[in-house]
Amino acid sequence: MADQKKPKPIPASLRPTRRYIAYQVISEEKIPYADLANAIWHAILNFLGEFGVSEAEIWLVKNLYDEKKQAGIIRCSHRYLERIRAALSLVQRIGDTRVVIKVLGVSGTIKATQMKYFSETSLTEFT
Amino acid sequence: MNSHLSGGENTIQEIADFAKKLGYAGIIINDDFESLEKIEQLKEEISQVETDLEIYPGTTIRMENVKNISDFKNILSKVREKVLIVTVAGGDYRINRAACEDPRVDILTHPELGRTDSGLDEPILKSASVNNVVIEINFREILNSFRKPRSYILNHVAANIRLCDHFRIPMIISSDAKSAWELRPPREMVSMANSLGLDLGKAFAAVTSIPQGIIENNKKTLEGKKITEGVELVE
Repeated sequence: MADQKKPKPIPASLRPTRRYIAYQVISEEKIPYADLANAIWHAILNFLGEFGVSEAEIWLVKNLYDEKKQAGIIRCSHRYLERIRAALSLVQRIGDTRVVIKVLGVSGTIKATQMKYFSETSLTEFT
Repeated sequence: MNSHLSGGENTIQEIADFAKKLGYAGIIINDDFESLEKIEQLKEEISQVETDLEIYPGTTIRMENVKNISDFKNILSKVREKVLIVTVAGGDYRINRAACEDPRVDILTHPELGRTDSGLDEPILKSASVNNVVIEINFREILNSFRKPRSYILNHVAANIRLCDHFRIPMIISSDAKSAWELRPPREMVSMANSLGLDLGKAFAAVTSIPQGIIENNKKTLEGKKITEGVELVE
């Protein structure tokens, strides 16, 4: 059982619809990712409760977090988008540092989110 | 929001810079009413700020500074000619009612503050719709509370949204921040109102067209162009 077999991918029509939220952290001092992730989880769990979070299908995409810009991506269900945005706005302090989480935008795939909000060259430069 | 002139933390320049970062197009500096000189001081400070943001002066009448209803009316008549936006800090039932029964009031803020109910009832809402008083959703209250108190506040705000929707009273969302770090991007405040049951279109209007409408209307009145409802001087 060392290499666990993955289930076959579900057809696209049966997959859950998701949104990817691009966010940026405005803070007094630099914040380590672990603290930020903790604070976001706390805020969302407090606001929605465990049951709400289970329905919202949250995933903090760790490897796409940009330490320099303090920007990252959160995945959630499209039904819970507004509630997650509201919950993110309730993050006030991380440790002793005051923070504001600003949502840059929302997109349907990780690729599109990166293109729209994080890529240094924008599509409009080529037209 | 409050500036450093009345219990706030930051100067107007700092607030303006931070608000620009968060994507605001304009802000209202809404200091607590203490005296008419303070209002003049606020106006002077606003004129010195270097920014392309639109900043408007406003004032809040708090119930702590008011002895009784006739005193409240007295202050109101003094203030109305001086500032663009007059808000009344609600919470007390009599103040809520007196504010909604007066057409000189623009905004009633946090009618549910410190109460075990939502603070609004049918007579208040009926007179608010006649006198064009706008009810406010206060974001600072939600932000600074925690767990049980926050759940009660969210419940009361949701009740107010439902009532205002029924009586067709416009609502606005405001940050009511004491410090620049309590400001939140406008779109996030829209999300919060939407999560509490306000229609998304109305929630957008609550941070864009409704405050702008109040400002433009009051500007005309203060300049003497608008004489009464429906009578205006047109050049």
